Amino acid sequence: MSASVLSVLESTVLRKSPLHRVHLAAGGTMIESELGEAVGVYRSEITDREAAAHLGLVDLCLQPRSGFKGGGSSDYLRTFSIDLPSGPNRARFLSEGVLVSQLSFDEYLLLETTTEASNTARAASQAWSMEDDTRDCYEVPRQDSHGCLAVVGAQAANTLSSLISVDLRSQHFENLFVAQTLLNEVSVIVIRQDLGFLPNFFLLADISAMEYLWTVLLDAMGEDGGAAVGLEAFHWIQSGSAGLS
Amino acid sequence: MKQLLCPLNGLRNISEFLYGGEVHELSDPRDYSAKDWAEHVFFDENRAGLVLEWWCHRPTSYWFIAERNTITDEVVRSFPSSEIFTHRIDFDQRRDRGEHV
Repeated sequence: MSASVLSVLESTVLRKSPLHRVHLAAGGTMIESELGEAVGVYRSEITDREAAAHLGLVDLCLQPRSGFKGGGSSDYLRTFSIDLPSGPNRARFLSEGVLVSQLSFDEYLLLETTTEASNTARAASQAWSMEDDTRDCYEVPRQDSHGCLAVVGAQAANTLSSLISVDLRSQHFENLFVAQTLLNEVSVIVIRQDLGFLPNFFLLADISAMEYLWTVLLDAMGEDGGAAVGLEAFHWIQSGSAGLS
Repeated sequence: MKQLLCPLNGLRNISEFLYGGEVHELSDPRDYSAKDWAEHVFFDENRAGLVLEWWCHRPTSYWFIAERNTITDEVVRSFPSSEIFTHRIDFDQRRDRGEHV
């Protein structure tokens, strides 16, 4: 495929989540944004917001994300004034809405969590070059390899803890802790970033397992009164409008 | 369920781990006959008592070393492999320097 065709595709084709067909079949109402086409509302605005406050599952597969690994990765990220977490399996939330997670002694994951574009995270990705092999830092593209979901709501820690071997309740798993574990034999990265008083967990896993994970999570959440919710409800919680912050 | 302490991720269920075999000294295959190399790769010592073993935490693909008592099945300690393997081993460079490999 020629470069000119690629550029046309990039400019005209909306990105879609790997769960797109699932959302359509479930009656989700799609919205378009600069990130692509995603579920805005699942049932109704009010129902979605109520579900998100109690126990909601959100598809965030379109959120920009990237990663860096190698002995020089921390020095590389610091050149972009990115504050790094205190150690492995910890995260730091930057003012631009970027969640920086340290996955090992020399590996980092950058996840944009809001609708605001992060110039810092994107600059770090754009500045990295395969040609510069002197800094021992390698980009780990996460946009197409991993999918991203969020489990949010007052019941989120209890329900999610029943599915994995890590106790995610706040007395054992504090805000901005990271757990890398198995969920029904699928490797997942769990990042806790509470939204006000509401527990919120980002889940990243292999993109090919997204539909399976979505089904497993919804099935388990259904027992606790949880449901799939759209982006509108998630952003409403994020903005603090739920009155819980 | 048994649990194992991962140096990176903490205490986890044993189902999150893969056993990777005994820790052997890294050797240069060019110093072995085919038969001896096959034994080096595939044969284990299976010693009774404290042994060093490779384990992998599957969700993170993190390989580390655990010291386990094969009689009591007690893991005495687990630690990053960098405690033993402190630098990259390049057999050609060692040979060039006249070191015994």
